[in-house]
Amino acid sequence: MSDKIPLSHDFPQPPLDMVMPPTAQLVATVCLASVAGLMFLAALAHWVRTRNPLFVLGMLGGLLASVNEPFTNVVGMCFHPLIGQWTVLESFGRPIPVWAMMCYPVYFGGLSCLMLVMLRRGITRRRFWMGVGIVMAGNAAFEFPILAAGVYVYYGDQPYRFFGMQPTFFVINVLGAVLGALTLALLENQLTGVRRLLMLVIPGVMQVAAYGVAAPHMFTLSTDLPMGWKYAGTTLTIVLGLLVIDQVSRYAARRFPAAAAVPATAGGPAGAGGAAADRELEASGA
Amino acid sequence: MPEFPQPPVDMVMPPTAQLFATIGLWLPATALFVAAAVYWRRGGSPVYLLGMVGGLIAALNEPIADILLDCYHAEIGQWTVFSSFGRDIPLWAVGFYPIYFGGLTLLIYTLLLRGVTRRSYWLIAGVVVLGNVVLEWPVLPLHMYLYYGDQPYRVLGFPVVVGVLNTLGATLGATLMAHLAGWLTGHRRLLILAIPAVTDLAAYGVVLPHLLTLNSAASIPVKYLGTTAGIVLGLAALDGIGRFAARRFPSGQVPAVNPSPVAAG
Repeated sequence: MSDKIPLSHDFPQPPLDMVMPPTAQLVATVCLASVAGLMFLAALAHWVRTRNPLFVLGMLGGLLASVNEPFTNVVGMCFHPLIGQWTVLESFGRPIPVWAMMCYPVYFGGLSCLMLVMLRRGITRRRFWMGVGIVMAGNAAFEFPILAAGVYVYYGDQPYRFFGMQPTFFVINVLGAVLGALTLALLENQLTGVRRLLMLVIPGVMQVAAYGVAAPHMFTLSTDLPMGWKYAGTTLTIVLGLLVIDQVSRYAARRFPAAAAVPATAGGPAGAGGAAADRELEASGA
Repeated sequence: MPEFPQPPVDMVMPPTAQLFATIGLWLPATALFVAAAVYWRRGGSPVYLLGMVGGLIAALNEPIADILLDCYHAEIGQWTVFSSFGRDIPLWAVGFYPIYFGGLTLLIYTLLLRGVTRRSYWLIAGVVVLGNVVLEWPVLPLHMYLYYGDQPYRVLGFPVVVGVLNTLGATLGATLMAHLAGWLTGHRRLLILAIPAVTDLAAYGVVLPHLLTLNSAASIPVKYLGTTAGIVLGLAALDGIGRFAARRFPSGQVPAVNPSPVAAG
């Protein structure tokens, strides 16, 4: 077996000789695991207090979504140094470190649950976009310091890269997180009993579903096209992603209106209020 | 780099088969394009033509699909249209997309707007799976491409999970188009160009256990487990869409949005 993917054409390859900085790996792992641990504890406390395991399932679903990391690394040209890495899982020939796995319950678990809380309380488009901003800020809060520490890298000709970050992922990740939150909110009252376990797969499925809008970015990034084309592809993905987020915000504002203030636990989004809103939506064709 | 299944890069494209497959796929694809253009000219709605072009654009997903699903098109002697992720995509494979993610998606779209029950929805899904099999089975024995690696549930070279995945992508695209039919008017209709490609990729979310285990050094039972989970999740998602479609586009009632695709335009 070769040490390089033996394909017949050149396209950007990961820097296989990159070394994981041990101190940065330790700090990243401890910090992210601590935040994730706190979020799990909060979700458990909520379960005990309300008898509703929703947030625990959401957090576990976020953790499960970490199996997407090798896939996202391949299509998004992201690489975790292999040398010195504390590996937790591997697929597509990409070992994934523990610290990277810990990002998932925080982002696709905790931040999605935060968005879910906002939806259950009723939301306006303005507040939805504020939620999107918070989730993006959350993404930036842990990606920028880790990138600067050199524990992973976006390689190849990445358009709009700043401080090592590929901004397309702010859009794709937030889209995945809000889609997850929205799906959880929509299905919360329908997924009862053993069917609740389906909530475990929702964050992971929605994260990958969000990659649908990333096609132009992924496609051009992985070619030997000139940079102009790569910028065009990445721009298209960002615009497409923001457009989809905006549509989701419009839907969410109608489906979970702030004025109705029908808490999910007392009737729920899929309950009378939600169903009426659905009928109204269908009648409007939107 | 750790081990995971690699494509057979020394595979040679059989020239006669390539010629037949290219003609065999591009003839119906062209016929569908012409029919959509004629329909636009006569009926005034460009929805079908946009859907066909959208299906063609979805062909840009093929290299990503090949990497994820461990599929490989013989590159030696290939009539290449484009490359990405180091994968050359042949002309015949591009022809598959307007037929499947264009034509079949538009067929589902039309049937949805006419109204469906859960039973008729599953019949439609069956037709789409059949369409996939009809397009892939005759081509697979010609050794122009193959699914490599340890592929669970491969029937005559075709992995069952791919049938579920493609059907989900097409159904999702059609349902989204039908759901948004009243909104996709004027210049917003151009968004139809992106729908088949976006929903095709979005469908990959549900077969994640298959993708993860297929591209790992996991044992065969673990791969079967992952693929089984992918198929079950895919069928559950198809059923969920079916329930939504049966409520949103009820059979025997005036459709909630538009009585016909023409009106949608």
